[in-house]
Amino acid sequence: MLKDRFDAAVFALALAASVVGIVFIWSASSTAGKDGYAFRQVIWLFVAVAGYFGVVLFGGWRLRGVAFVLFGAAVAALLAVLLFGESVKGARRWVVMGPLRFQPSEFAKPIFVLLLAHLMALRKPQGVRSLVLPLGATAVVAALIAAEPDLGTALVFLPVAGVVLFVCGLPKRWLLVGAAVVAVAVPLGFQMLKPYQRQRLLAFLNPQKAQLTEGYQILQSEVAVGSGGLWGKGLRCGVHNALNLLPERHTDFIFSVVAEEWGFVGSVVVLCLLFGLVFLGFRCAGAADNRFSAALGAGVATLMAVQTFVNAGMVTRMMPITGLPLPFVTYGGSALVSSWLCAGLLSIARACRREPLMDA
Amino acid sequence: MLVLSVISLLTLTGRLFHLQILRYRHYAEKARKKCLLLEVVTPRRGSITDRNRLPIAYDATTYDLAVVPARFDRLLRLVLRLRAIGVPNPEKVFSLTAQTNRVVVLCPISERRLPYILRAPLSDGSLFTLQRGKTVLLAATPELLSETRKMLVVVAELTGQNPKKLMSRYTKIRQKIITCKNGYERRHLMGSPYVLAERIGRFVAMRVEAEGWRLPGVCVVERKRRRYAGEAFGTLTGYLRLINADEAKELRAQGRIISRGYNSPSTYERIASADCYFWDERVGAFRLEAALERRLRGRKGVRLLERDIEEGGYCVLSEVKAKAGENVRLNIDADLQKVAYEALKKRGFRGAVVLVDPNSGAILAMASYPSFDPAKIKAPKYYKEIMKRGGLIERCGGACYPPGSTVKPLVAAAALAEHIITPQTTVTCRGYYRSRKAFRCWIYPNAHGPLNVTSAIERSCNVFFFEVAERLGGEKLAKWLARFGLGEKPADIPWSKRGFLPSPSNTHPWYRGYGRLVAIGQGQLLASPLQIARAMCAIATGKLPLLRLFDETPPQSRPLGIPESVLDVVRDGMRLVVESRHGTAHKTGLSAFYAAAKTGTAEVSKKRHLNHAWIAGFAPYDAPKVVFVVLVEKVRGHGGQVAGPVAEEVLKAFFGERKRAER
Repeated sequence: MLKDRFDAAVFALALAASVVGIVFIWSASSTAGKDGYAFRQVIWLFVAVAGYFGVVLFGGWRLRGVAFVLFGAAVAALLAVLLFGESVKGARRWVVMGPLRFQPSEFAKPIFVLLLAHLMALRKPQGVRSLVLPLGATAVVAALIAAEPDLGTALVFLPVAGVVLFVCGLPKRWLLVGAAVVAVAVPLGFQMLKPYQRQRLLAFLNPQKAQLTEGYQILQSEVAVGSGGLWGKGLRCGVHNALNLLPERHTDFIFSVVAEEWGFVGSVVVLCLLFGLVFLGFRCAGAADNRFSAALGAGVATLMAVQTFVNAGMVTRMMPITGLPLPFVTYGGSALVSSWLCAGLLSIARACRREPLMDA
Repeated sequence: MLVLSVISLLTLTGRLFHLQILRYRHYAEKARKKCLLLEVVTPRRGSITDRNRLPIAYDATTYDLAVVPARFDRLLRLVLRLRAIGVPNPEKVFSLTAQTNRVVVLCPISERRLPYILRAPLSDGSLFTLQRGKTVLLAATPELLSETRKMLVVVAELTGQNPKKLMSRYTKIRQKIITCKNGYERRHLMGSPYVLAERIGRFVAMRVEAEGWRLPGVCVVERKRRRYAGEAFGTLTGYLRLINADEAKELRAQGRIISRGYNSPSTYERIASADCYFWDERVGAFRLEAALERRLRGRKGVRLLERDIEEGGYCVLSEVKAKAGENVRLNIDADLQKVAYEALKKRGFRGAVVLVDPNSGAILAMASYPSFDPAKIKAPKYYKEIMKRGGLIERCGGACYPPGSTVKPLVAAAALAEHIITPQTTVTCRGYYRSRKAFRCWIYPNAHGPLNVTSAIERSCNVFFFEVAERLGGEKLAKWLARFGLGEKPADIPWSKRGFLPSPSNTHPWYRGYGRLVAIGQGQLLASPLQIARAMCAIATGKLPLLRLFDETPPQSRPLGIPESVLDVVRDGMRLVVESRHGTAHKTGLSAFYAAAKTGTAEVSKKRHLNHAWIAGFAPYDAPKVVFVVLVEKVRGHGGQVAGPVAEEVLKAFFGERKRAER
């Protein structure tokens, strides 16, 4: 059982990325005089790896059986966070249960991919009718998360749904429809953004002007990355790290610490680890004999790719600031567990790619 | 899809290549030289002054002498450079003593490294090379080697400190810099000032500033320290203490705490938009410092600096100015307060002294003993001692006592105003009221005989007032005492207590005997010295003023509703207390000030014969200028005997002052 579905390649890539993450969380937080972050992340890593093995042992069929239940639970948790969530800096993203705090939107990611794959397996996406359920699920999750408000995370679900649908055989003419919807939605959406979100976008476009707040992070991060050079300054020797110039550096901006202290070489290695998982996912999607495996692989791969691209892009000033984590690397228990659950789903997708019976 | 992900990976890699490889020099320079730093400017805490603007609590600017190693210590820079090029054990340069006039050879060195070593500030010829065969040796003049030590000696002379002590202090700083592994942190340490000598005095500070050219890297750092006028004001001003854990938690929840690693500019907005506290800030702990905390502390300012790490220069990118704390002026007269406090202290009396100007309600002195010196309270030993002897109780307004016979004039005024008695009504005192066992007159067994109201006040006869209370009834008695301000806040002082005025409406069950007890200031009746002082103001002027500690409070008063003729009778009684042979305070020297007064002796412990001794009154009796109240807690002896001399001493100071002022 475990032998069939355990996937050495996926496990090795994920573990390597997690270890790098812990090293840099230690580097970034210990210079700020806040110890304990790295230790907590190690504990979370054990939980996350347990979660991975749980998913792998559970197997594809049984997961399909509970897909709807899990999705219902995720929606309930997202509703709960809107109602009783703990507010941090104006956004309700956390649920507190005793000593534990977790972020339901993180757990919604793997569950959403699983549900999508299950729906694809039940019915091939062709006409309008076949799109109602998958797009409906996407809309519900995205809307709930956008209401937290966490627009960045909410928007991740759209490309995931799109890629999964097309990989599973949605005719290409729908691409035009999608493009038209996006073209209408973007300007409308900008009008509806909250002031802080608009500020972030504008800060991205013109960081010098907003030097003190949002723009400051971007500029400092850019300088930190650029001054890393080819080999970097060495662990715990980054100026921006040591002089406490980069806020939020053990969470969203961890990649800039990586780039400053390990340089071009180190950061490309970290990117290759993460994109290795993406390649495995898309290769599995291409070679799969069933829609479940294809959808699962493509979904996980897209999720990883988008998060990595947006986070690394933000740090290098190619993208606006969002709250998206760098999978496996960023500090945070929920994000780490969620990433490892995705890795588990990827292992399952790769294990059952030769089982045509998975569908319907 | 595979293609798309390859493209995105390549895009990221390309961007990283662009930033980290192609534009590396640009960013490296930016990161090396410039950094944004936040500087929080803490304003001066407002001062508390007395009526003559003499400071009672204020922030004094003190000066510390500090050195910036980067400019102060050329030897240290030499050592760091030698270490950077891999010379083994460069620290030994520090221990080279150059007593001779000969140059000292330091180490062999390669020609290639020389320009790096000889950069400014070591380019003035104090370092040079010697050729020995094929090897090139680096050598230094003895002046360079002893330079730092000499400067430290000069600094020691200026500040009057022991040069050896200074040297050992500075060696520690050197060690800290040398052992620092992180290059950027080390530069930071090199560029920041270290305090070598604290509180160097203004003249020394000025000399250091003036002779600065002789002492590169030596600077004067200003620091504010809270100063207090001494023990007499301790219970009034309170003191400053560190923020405690609960407050820190609450502030953190509001985002108003500035924690240790605060110099990240992301905190700029936070500090600019809300009134923030440092995690280790001192806040007002007690009485005035606590009550006026908001006004005294002002508001922090914040500056965002772009700083050149190497050179130490900076430019201000953006700034929010600090707002200095407000100054608060009290009506207290500092000299009187000191006299009043000393009068209690030298006799070892726990108690309170209140002086009030009856016409304006201004509180001229409110001394309370035991007190404490707010400047010393930081020391744990002193604090413990203070807590042991109860120094943290402010006894003038913050504590209530049974007022004893000092309420008798008020009761007499009430009875006269209600026409229950006339000035001529007499009551015969047999030494006890109704039965021999209960309700005795306090000088029992000697009976007073027949007394009218004036002589009842004069001799403080309990039996007379038992009778009066009986005729008045509890309801009316409470109504009239309330008119004299008992049972309500007497002053504009936030911590002043209301005391307790028992009446049939707030005491259940109410027995008839309670009224009799209230009439002689015992039983459940509780009043603070300030309340008694206020009532005395009312008797002296016919109006009940609000007592004012703060100069800014406008004078307010309300009419008493008692005719002058009635008050005159009471004043006569109080006058006789001091003047007549039978008066309870005639042995004191109060008559010299034409004072009218009433003594009080409230029994606390019959077994140990302990009483609260009171004396309250005003002077001069025909045109009152001052109301005085003295309370001495738990002493043997009665009011006139114990509290009288204290009152006399305080009045002496008051009128002496007055005379001087008139001259």
